[in-house]
Amino acid sequence: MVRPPTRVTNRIKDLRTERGVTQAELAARLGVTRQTVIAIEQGRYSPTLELAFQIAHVFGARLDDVFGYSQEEQ
Amino acid sequence: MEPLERAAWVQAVVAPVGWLVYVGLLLARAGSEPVVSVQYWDLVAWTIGGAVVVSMVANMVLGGSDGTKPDPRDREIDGRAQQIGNSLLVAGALAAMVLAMFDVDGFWIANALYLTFVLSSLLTSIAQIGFRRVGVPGW
Repeated sequence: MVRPPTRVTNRIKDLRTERGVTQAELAARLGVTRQTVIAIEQGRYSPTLELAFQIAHVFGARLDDVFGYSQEEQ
Repeated sequence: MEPLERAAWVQAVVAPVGWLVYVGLLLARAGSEPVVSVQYWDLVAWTIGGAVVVSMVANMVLGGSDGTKPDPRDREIDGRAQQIGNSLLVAGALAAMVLAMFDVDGFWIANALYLTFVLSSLLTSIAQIGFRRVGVPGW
């Protein structure tokens, strides 16, 4: 299995599902492309701190409710 | 496929094909003469210009831009890929300098630089595609 290039994990997909937000809607609210939302969800891109705060803000959650950091060696 | 990834694929194909066309035209012009004696600069200009035009047309035909501005991920991918491609430019510039130090004919220096630009462009495109498909590694 291919390891994701980042240790940053996230719950964006779960939060989207809970709140009924599509990837396209989230992307539009963040001002990024839908591909960027997909890449973040799949752990292929670690968002900037600013974008991470924006994502948390959209869900009305704290940063560490959305993002985590895996301590496991890659 | 994202428009920017599609543009990278176009660049990855057009740049080396343009160079191969250049080599083909150069060899055809040389015939049985030594290739060093052939006028090459007009072929370089035409094939570079042609590659730019073909890239623009191919991008339009294949779907063009969707109007979205590059976001932070796009800019990061572009920056990382440019860094990788530029490393080859530095190597090519050093190679050209060494050729000049050994008084090698200007034909070879110019062609070494042209090949460097092509390979750098190709490497940049491959890096962009890789970062989009596999992911962007952390710093």
